[in-house]
Amino acid sequence: MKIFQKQYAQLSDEELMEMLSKGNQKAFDEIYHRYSDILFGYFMKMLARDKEKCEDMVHDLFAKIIRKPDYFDINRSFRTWIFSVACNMCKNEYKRMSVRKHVSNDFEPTKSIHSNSDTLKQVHESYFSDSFYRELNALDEKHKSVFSLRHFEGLSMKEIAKALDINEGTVKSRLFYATKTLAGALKEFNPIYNQ
Amino acid sequence: MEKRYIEILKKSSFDELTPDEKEIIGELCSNQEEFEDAKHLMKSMESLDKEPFRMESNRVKDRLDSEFKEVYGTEGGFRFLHFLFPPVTPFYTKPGLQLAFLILFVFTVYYSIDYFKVDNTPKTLYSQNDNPKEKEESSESEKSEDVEKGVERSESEETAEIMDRGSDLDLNIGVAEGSGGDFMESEMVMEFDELSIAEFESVAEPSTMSSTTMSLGLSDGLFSSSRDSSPRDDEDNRLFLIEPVSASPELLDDLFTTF
Repeated sequence: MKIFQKQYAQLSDEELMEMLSKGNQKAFDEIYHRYSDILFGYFMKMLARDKEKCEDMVHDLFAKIIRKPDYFDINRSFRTWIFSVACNMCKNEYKRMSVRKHVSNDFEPTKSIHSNSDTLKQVHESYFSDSFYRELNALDEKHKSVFSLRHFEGLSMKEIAKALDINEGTVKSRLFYATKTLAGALKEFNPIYNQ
Repeated sequence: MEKRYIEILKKSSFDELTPDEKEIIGELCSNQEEFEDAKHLMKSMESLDKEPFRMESNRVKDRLDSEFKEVYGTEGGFRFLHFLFPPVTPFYTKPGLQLAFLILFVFTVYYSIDYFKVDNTPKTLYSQNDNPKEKEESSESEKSEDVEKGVERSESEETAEIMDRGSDLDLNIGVAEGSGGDFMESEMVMEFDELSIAEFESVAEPSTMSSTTMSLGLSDGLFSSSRDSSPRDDEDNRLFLIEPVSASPELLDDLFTTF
């Protein structure tokens, strides 16, 4: 019987969405498997690493997909669409609460350093990581989303432009601004200044 | 372009960049210091990518699964509805709509064939005269035609009646002629002439009737044809047949005086 079973892993996101809309549970499982961690990571970067909130955001997003699959236009790229939905959710979340304040007060390092691994490199990386995410969250939402989509989610500038409904020139401009700001804020980690 | 600036940032020094490369990253860094900062950021971020975030608990998935069952439950009606009208597909590929359009098409074709059945009867011609004024006019003209027809019909009936009478008379005349009675013949002819003239004057216009003789000639012709054709008339003729005097000469005995 296995030969008649569909290879869900080989289907495109759009095909899976079409099947999902007809009530195919396995198609939904495959979509969830592909995007849950990516979206969770995106929300973690965008929402100051509040794990519970990010899980709720992931839940809300997939619940939207279940309840209103027709929001997705089958002629569009699912990847672009789902990140555009995630971006809008982040915007709404920013509007609802003062995230910046939240970041400075509740920021927690994700990775704990073991007491026995006291190498300078590990400390440096951990410290850099914390500082990086802090500075990233200090950016404007529009710069942060472009930077995250480009460098963490691997979307092309064209895809980002489609997801955020802006032109490619604006994407490039925002990306360079965010990179420049972050690079300036994290210059203390650059070894050439510590020599 | 999007990967190009990352490659450019991997170069050792800002001074090594070509004018084109400097133009590409001009918005990002305009001097050696900014170039070094951006370069370090990119390099450090590579280590960050190695630690992807993972959702450890199945809490979210369990909740979503229960929601999925709630929305796409096993109820037959909803499943069928989702099959007919899947939400994501474009409207023209929805099976329900396709089925509806097919049924509509079949019914349209069926009824249009029934409606446009070819009929060469004057119905089509009449249906073209839809102008109400024309209708009124035509109805009036029809009425007048009917009146005229009625008049004509009554005229023709009367004429036929007269002709029938005339034929009877003619037959009597013929019989009388055969018996050789000049008196009877002249009397009968006179009687017929008077009658036919009176009748024709009452039904026909004077212009149409040129003379009584003409009408009589016509009536003669008609009489002869009617005499030839009708079996009922033959019977009548037999009833009215007077035997010639030569067949029974004793009848004449009292008529002649012997001196």
